[in-house]
Amino acid sequence: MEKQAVQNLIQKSKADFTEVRIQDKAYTIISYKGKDLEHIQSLRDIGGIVRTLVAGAWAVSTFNNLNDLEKEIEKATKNARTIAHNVPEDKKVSLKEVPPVIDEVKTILDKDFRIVPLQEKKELVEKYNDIILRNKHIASTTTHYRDEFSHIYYCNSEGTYIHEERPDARIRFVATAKNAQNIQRALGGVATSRGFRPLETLEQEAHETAQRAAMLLHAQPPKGGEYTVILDPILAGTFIHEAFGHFSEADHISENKKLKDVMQLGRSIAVPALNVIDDGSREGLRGTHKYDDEGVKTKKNYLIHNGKLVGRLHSRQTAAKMNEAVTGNARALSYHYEPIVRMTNTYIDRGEASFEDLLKSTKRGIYAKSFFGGNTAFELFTFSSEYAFMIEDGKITTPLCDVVLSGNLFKTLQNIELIANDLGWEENGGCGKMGQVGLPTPTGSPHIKINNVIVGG
Amino acid sequence: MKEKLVDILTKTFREWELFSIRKEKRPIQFASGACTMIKESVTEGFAIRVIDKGKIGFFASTSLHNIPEIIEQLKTNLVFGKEGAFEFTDNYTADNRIQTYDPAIENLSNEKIIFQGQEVVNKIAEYNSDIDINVYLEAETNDIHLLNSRGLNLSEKKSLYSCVIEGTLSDQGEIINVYKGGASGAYDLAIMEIAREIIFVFEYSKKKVRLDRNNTKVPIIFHPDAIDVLFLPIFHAFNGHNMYLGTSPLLGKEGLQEFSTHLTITESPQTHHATFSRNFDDEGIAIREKYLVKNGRINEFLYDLNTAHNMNTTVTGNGFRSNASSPNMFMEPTINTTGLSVKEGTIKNDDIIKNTKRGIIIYSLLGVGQGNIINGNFSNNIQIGFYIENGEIVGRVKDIMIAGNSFECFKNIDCIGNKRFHEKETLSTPYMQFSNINVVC
Ligand SMILES: [Zn+2]
Repeated sequence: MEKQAVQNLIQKSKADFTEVRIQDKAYTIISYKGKDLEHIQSLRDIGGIVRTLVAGAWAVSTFNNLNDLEKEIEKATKNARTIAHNVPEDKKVSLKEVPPVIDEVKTILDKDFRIVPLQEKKELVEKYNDIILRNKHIASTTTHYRDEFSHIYYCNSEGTYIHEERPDARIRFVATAKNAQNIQRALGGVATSRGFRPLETLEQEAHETAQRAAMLLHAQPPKGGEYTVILDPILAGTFIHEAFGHFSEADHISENKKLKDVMQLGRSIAVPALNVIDDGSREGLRGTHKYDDEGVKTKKNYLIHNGKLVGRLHSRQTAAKMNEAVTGNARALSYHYEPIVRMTNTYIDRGEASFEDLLKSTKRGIYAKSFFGGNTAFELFTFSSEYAFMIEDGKITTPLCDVVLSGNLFKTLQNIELIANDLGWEENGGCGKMGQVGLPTPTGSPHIKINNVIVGG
Repeated sequence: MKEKLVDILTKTFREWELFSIRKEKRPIQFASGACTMIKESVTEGFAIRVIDKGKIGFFASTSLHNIPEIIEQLKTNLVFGKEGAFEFTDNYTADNRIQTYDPAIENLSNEKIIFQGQEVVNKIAEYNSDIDINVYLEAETNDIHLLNSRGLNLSEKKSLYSCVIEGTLSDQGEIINVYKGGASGAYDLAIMEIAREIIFVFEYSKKKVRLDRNNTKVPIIFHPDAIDVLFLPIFHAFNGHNMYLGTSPLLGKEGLQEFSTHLTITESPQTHHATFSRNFDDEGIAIREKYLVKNGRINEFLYDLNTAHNMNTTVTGNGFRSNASSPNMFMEPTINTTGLSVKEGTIKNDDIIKNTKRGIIIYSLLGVGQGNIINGNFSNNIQIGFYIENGEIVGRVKDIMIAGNSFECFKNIDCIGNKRFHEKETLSTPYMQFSNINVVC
């Protein structure tokens, strides 16, 4: 749709605030399962979302037929009005003021996947899949490729108009190894917003994924109990995202008096060596955008500084509610959804120890590597590593499988003993919240050592 | 527009299939007890599959505007397409006798949905005004249409109404989070019943129980809300595609007595107005009832057209674009279950608790799906679970994990209750009790 046409329709809206986001997405999926090509698809998804605010109440409308935009704005305005009188005074929505922006955000790709022929993509995926299958322990694989390129047009009644290009591409490996007694899986792959090139050299990654699955066949589950645990950067980053990051999302905090107390800024929440940051402006990562989905500029936000809680993540709505500054963390998965408070690129900053220091100081423990899954229920968390090793007398020894770690967030943050200096990033992560599942949320961390973690087995 | 597309498809491809859908959703949410947002969504679009020279081409889009471009894309996708020597179906004989649509859901006003949400909020607030309450209600109607080059022309309207209630209470420095949901294909969801169950859980959570570390050998009772964790490996094992790939641990075990004789699992899509009720799958195959496990014996696996062809077996009507209840046009049909149910035992659900001297009943687990769903190993934190002593629930257990293997669990089932829960949802079971699950604390 024409910029002017959208702006005119928004100007005609009778709501207190009106925004329109239109997304035009083209994507390609190629996947192999075992030796078979399972999917090869190209898809086109075009749609829009209208959000209107009337007397402190929201209405949202999503649609595929862009010619309906005027009708959708009217419908949303009417719907917002019908619920507005029921919204209690203290729940009425207002928005933190932000300067209007007019901008065009273009992206530069290291090899643009839109012009890579389907055949070339297919051959690449097949090559990696074959590498995994060549390992004689491997019974099956999933090798999944996906690229997508979105044009997002954001326009609101305050004069903001942004056209942003959002590229994303990834290859994911699942290697399944099998012998007479056992079946095990290993995961690998790369996800990136930088283009096709970073996906072209994953031979080693594919090879190692197969090897890990084979290794896990002979791994034992740990004996259940309390352990000292060293987390690798992938698992530690995921831990901080899952167990702590979601606590920093102000939509949870702003509505809940008691959580607000727990998450009081200035409170000592962790060991003094811990620094946790969410940065939507950090160059080259999948969680990076110049603006969030309300047209607010992204930036680097400290959440924990020297063990103290110093910040949280906001949308315009939560920033107004808690009378704090906006942080640029209102994100929407697609045009099907309204923006909600989300993390971007979340990481534990580097410490001073070396990985060797962490190991050497551990008499008996578990070195847990890579992320398999996780979830939380407020202060309780459970997450599982893809594979792990015993540590005995400072040395990595026998491989372990099915390592599931669990505990209480606040106790665990006080039990971090050492933080290494080897910050690493994991970009495969996708986050789910309120039905919006799979939002790119990279995580980063150095190796960290935590005492007294419950390990199931 | 659609007629024109059909016309060009017929002229261009010998074997084609056109799936189209219009989906209307009205999710309404009460966040912290207040409804501050109202939402309406319409999604419409189509997916095309073509088969030629043993290959399949797939394309899906929300826009019909550029038909020549659609045809070009299909041709390209076909050249590099996956292998598929099967044929589309033309022998649909069932007569849409399963009821899938309830106009009461489509006609439900936003005001009425909001009223229902408010009732839940009031009910729980009346019990304890400190509980932070979120309620999520959603009315959905799907219009499904399937056409193919063999003359198949099927359509179905499908409705859904679902509810999730979440309550959070901070109490003496700890936070308890309780959620429960329900869904139905008709406007008959007992929403207030779900609210009452939430209150029940909060009430019994008041007292905490510390488990003796040296005395953790106790039977585990699964409330049907928490039992998914045991069935994920079962879903995986009965999926015909995993037979084809050789990753199903039940491969080659057809007809064998693998599980306890108490265990019978049916795929029961013949239910009216269930979330999964359909008359045909997303490839146009008639839905029928199946036994996956019959008295512990492995009976039947699930197949879609392509996998059935590759395995040289009969298609079972399990080809769904994501799932049976709410198809996603961007997904190619793959094997999925509609609704599984576990046959009732003879003992009353409540009597299972009454007969337990020492044990744990689990209402919800953390980390479901993180286990090894292929070999069946699981290990989960108990989110909501209660300690039972002398036949009575005495309090909530904390910081406890359970670990076991689902295939092993189903080999030795202590008992199965006589009433199923979630009858209109994808997994319906009674209470089930097991003694071979480890407890770690
Ligand atoms: Zn997350």
